[in-house]
Amino acid sequence: MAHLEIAGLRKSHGAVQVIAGVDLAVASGEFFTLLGPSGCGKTTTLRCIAGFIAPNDGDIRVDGASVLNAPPEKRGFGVVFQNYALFPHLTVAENVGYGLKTRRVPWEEARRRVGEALAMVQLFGLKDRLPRELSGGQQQRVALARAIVIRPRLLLLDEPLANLDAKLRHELRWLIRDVQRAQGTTAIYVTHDHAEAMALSDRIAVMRNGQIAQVGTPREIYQRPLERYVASFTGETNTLEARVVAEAGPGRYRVAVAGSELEATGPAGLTPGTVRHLLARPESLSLAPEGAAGVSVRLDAVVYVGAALRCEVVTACKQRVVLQVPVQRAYTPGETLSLAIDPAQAWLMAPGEAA
Amino acid sequence: MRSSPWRTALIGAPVLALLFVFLVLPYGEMVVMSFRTPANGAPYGDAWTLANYGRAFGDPFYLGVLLRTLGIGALITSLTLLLSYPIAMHLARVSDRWHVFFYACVVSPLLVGVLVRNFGWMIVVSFQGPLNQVLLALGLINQPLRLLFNLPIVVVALVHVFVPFMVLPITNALRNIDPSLYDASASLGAKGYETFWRVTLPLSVPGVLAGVVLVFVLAISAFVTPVLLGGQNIVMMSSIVIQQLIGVFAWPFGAALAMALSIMTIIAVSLLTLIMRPLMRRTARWS
Repeated sequence: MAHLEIAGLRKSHGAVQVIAGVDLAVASGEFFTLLGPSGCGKTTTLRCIAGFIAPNDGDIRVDGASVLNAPPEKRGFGVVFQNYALFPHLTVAENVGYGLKTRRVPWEEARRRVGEALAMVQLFGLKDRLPRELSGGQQQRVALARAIVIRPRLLLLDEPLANLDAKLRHELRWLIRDVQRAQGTTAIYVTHDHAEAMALSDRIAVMRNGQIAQVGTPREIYQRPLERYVASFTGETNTLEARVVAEAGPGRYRVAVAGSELEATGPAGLTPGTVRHLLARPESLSLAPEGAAGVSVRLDAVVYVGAALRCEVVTACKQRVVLQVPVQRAYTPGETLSLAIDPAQAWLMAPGEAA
Repeated sequence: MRSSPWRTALIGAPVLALLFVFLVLPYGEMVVMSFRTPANGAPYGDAWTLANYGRAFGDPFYLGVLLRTLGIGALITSLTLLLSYPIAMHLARVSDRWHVFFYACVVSPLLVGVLVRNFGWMIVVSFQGPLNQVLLALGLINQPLRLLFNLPIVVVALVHVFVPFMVLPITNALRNIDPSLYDASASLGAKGYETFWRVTLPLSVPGVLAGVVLVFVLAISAFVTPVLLGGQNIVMMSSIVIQQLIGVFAWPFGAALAMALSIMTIIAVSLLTLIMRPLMRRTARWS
């Protein structure tokens, strides 16, 4: 049975539907991420789970029991906020111990557990400091310790790394993952950063306009997006218009792209004549001399980016494609080449708008 | 052009001059005067003396007035605080559009001049006044109450006018509290009253302290209200000082009394600050 279940969740602010029907099931111990651009309803969904706002419709169940009638203080969820939300008048140890104090945990036990939590986030030496004496990264570690020390049924994280610089973001990312694994806590993580979502999550729900566009493992979301929106939100993409010519096997098709025919992977049941978007990630493409199998393209620009050459090519149908190729061979802009796509990584998805 | 420190000082010069002439000089003069002997036909004599202070702190009557003034000040300050805190909490929470409206309501007592306001009180609570009429009409009392010229009416009238001085700094402090702290507190299992006690109250201490000091200082130096509404029955320090200065022409002694009040005020405010600073931390500590 799913640990956390969300069914038909809706929330409106006036005429604006912030959450327009969200259904989710999260397994126990899973690291689950809500990924989407700002305004997609991911934070609102998290705040509904936490109990800070009440949804207009739908249900939120934990271990099969609805939590909607319980105020946040009765839910027993740990929350980590984007702006840390540490109590500025309390020391690090007092901040971490806050949830134990409200639970009337005996003093000796509370002190021990605060110590353990601080050790887990590598901050034990700073327990008597005030939040304002800590860096942003340290403050967020305190917030994480404060949320896990109460052994929450769910750990809710609302863009916890958004206010930190790139280096700290990386460090803290792994700390969050380690702590969550060590505790075996189910975590719901909200972010707009796809790299963060990929690195941390067991599964990701990509959200758009208050609805779930797709739920899947990072690999599924990246390699097998159902539509262009999901693909464009999870990394650099090229989309080429493709028409199905024939089925070449289960889930394999021959498709026509810019006057050439190639092989691609797609969902079962596409009939010949169907127009789809062919997803080609930059790393699934390669260039070959003119005449080789593939789509004929003209090289528009080459940029040396260190590990590879970044090439922009244009098809006969004026579609622009970006790819990275090894640096060994020299390319001159204007030359005609053949663009090859790895059939296993060429994926046919539903047409639609990019993010 | 290069801006020199002198140029910056020049900008502040008019204000400094004004403060010097109308604040520093009179105060200095008053301090000097309080150590002088009295004289006929002049504000004070040439000789120096401590006798004025001896009398101010030694005479049971004046010491009594001094202590009563401080006591009434403390009472008014406490009542104002109790009344103002909930108002401030509400004002800190309302949307910006309503904020202006409620803000105007809170400040409204200050829009009426001090004399008009006090005569207004006198009319409202007088023997034949509307308040007595209403109470009689409702059958709550059998005969009109004597509401004027006693301590309660002085306290009520002063609390009424001091509320804005308490509400505004506290509102300010409350509005500075990050709202996510309330969410954080709730998510950690704190019920409403626990969040108030451990988060809201300690973080509003700076505002409370500012309001308390302001109201206390205003209360003990109040003159018009105690005189008009308290009459001869409620004698506070300001009226005694003015009596000495204008009625008896005992300028050195009047100055000493004023200094005595100032000294006691400074001591009281310092003590208060010392007590309340740690309160900010202690209310949330491990018990």
